[in-house]
Amino acid sequence: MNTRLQRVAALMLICLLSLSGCASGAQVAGDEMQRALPDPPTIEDAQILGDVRDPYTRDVTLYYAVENSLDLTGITRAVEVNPNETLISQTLLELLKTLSGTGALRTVSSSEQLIDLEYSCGTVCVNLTLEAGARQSDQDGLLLCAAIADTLLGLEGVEAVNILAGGRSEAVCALPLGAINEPSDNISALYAQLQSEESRFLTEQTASISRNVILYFPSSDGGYLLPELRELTFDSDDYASVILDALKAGPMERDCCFSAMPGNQELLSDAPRLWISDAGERVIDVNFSQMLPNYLAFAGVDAWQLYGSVALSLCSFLPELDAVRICVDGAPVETCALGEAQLQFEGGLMRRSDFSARIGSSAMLYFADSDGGLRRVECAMSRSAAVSPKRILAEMILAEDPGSGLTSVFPDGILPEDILGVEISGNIAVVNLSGSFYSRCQLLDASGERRLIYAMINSLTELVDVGAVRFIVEGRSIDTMVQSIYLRTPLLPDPGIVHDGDNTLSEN
Amino acid sequence: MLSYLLIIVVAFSAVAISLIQLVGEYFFNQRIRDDQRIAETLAEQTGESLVSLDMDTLYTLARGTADENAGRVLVVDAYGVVQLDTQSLLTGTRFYNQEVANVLSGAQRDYGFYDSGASGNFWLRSALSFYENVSSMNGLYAHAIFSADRQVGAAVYISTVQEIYENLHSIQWKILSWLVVVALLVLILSMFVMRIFTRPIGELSEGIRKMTGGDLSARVNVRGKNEFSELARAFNSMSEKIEALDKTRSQFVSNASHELKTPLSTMKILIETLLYQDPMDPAMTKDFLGDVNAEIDRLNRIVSDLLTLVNMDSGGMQLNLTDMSLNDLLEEQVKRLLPLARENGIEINLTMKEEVRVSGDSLKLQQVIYNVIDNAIKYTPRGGEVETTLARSGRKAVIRIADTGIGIPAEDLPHIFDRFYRVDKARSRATGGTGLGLSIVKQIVQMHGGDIRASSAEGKGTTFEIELPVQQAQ
Repeated sequence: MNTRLQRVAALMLICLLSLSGCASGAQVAGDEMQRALPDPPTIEDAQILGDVRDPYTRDVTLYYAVENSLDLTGITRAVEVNPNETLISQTLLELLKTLSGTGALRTVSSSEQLIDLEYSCGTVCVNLTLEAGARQSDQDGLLLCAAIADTLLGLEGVEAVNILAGGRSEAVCALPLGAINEPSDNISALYAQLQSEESRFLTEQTASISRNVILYFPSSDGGYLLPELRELTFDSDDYASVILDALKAGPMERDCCFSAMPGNQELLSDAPRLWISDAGERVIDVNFSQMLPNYLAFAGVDAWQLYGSVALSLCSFLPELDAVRICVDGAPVETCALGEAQLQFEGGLMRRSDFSARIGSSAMLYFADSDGGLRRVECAMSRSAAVSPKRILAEMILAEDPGSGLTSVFPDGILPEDILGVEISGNIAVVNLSGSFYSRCQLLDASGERRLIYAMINSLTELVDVGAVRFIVEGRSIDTMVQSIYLRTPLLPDPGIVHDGDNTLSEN
Repeated sequence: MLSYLLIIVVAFSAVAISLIQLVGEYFFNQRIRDDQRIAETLAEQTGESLVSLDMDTLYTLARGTADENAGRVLVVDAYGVVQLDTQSLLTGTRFYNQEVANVLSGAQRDYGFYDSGASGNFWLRSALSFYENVSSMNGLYAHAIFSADRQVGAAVYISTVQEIYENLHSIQWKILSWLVVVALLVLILSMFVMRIFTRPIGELSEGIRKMTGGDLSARVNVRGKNEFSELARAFNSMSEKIEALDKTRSQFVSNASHELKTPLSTMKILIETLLYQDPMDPAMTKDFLGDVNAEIDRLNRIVSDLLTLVNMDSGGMQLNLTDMSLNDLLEEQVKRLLPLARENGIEINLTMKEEVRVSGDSLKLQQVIYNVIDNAIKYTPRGGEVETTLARSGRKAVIRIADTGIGIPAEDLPHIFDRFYRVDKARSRATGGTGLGLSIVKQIVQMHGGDIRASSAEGKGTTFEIELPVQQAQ
């Protein structure tokens, strides 16, 4: 072969080796982006101050029993929710109105049917008037409770419903109904089951029943009593002892709470005793030994926390219980301090209403952990604060010691006042931040910026009516707080940035 | 050899590259199809969740898809903002990516490859170059998310193709290694094979070179049974013949020189005697001059015979063929030699069984018969016999001339037709022979298409058999 042929072969080899550098499917390196990302529409400046909620309408399903029927029927209604109202309350009022129309409730106005509605930590306690709660039969009572429970359980954020009448829990088939946490598909079957339980429980020594009980535990900060749903088993009609034992065991899900009940069994002198007062009220006595004050002082527990925990838990479950009388060494407690105020209990009778104002709630706040992520912390606060986005953000800013290894995501110098306002509109919360807030964030690195933004987003989207969050500064849209996170569009929460943990925090 | 090696390397590279490309295409296309299916399913499932801002459902779907397929899922909104990243690295940022931009601009789907390990982002597409150090090659599939026929974002599924890339890379290196190994093997094999083929040729060349240099004894080794061995045999055969020819030529020249020199030497002596011996007896002078004349005649015969042979060798002699009777020719030649036979006391007989006619040159055949009978007479002692017979054997005429002479030694018999070959050199020269007679005889017989053979028994006599083709008509 001559030299020319060698050169040709060598050239072919070089070409082949060059080609071998690219496999099929390879794209052109350095390919310039042909199309740009579309920009979001320009949003007009909006100076949002305080908590602002736009009225909105939501379709809800109301359950009721038609005449001569033993089962519930669902109907979808558009419920309008105005500022300072909640979807739960408006839904309940709409249901009561519907029930009145069908004869399930006495024909009275909605406002006369409902005494109070407590929404806290996923539990709803509906306190109907005695007039509205009066029923002709157990079956009617069950239908009413099931209608309310099924309707409210269909709403986001509602996990259990406890229904009271005149502040008392009503019995169905002579047994406590407890809190309802599942919709009742077949009321007839449920009623038959309750009847069967009644006959067995009241006649057989070994029979037992299980019920969902709302237990109230004081928050760690000492400011509130928070509910926790617990399924308890009762093998006798001494419901109070079982509930007190559960209170003694302490909260199981609520990390921001603790048990105020003394663990020492000897402090509880006698078994709770039910009696009827001269006024015809059903009262249960809970007797502690004379060592109780020492225990409370030693454990750092305020007396009202123990009394409120016991009174709320028992009155919310025991059928037709009007009050709890707590005695220390046989003497009824007629007064106790609550902060600087004094609670007075006439005749030592502690009613549910005496403590219902202290029922608080909790919010899930996010703080920075040492791994560059966020940690979810349950924080006890008032029920109104727990549904206020501005208050939630303020709580995040104010938290000095959010937990072990946790720190605030906010740069130093930021104050609650830097949250100028939050507007919730159509499941989107628009957070208006101050210029000072923006300025103080400029030293954050990419990780700090990410954690700051998503701590606020994740915390706010824990609210049932917030799905995404948009940020503005002094009413104006901005591209980024620092450099990374794009803020001209609403942002959904980031579950991926959250690390597992069991920290708790209570409102100071 | 290098050229063949280069061709093999090129061919091997072409096959290897084609193979890698085919395998790569298969794997990458398979991955693209899988990613497309995953992204499409994800896009169908996440539309409503994205619109209703239901992150719980969205995250569950994305997380499940990512975990199930060991990939990464991004959900971007209509403006390219990452609302969900299962690795939570790009959440909240705008995803500056070609495929996503295309999808958000109206394309249904798009796909690209990225080395996110080098750049840390998915902005610039990466080529699957095997020359670059790719640390984290990913395939990115973007698919539009629709809700109520309105595009609300894009589902992005990112899967690592690093293992495919590395496998192909590994295959490439293996093939390259094999290429080197095969090239080396080919090189060694080529050397071995070429040695097998070139060695005989080299030996032949060496032999030719030696022969060219004058060494006619050069031979090559013959191995095996193939074309090269045949060639070697042919070469050796040719060499032997050339060597024999050269030897004959040398012998011929030597003999001719010797034959020519002998009368010249004799004449020189005689003439010098005549020149320097004074006074010289006139009778003796005449006798000397007679001897000189005889030597000149002898020289003349030798030269004539040589010219005849040269004429025959060069093809210059043309036969004057005529239909002739061998019977007549034999009778005539026997009569011609009868006086010589009587003078030597030898009985000469002629026996002809039948009339035999041949096509031949009468003069040349006369010369043949005359020479053979003349030789028989010369080498048969007094009282001997020379028996000449003519017979026909098939299509041949056979002339047999047998004498009862001294015979020829067995070792000399094969050479009696060679030029200047003499069995008894002194005697033959004394008889006036030139040493070329039988050579000429054989040449003439062969020119007539015949043959001549001799058989002899030392001390008993010699028999010559001359075969000539008879006329076809007979």
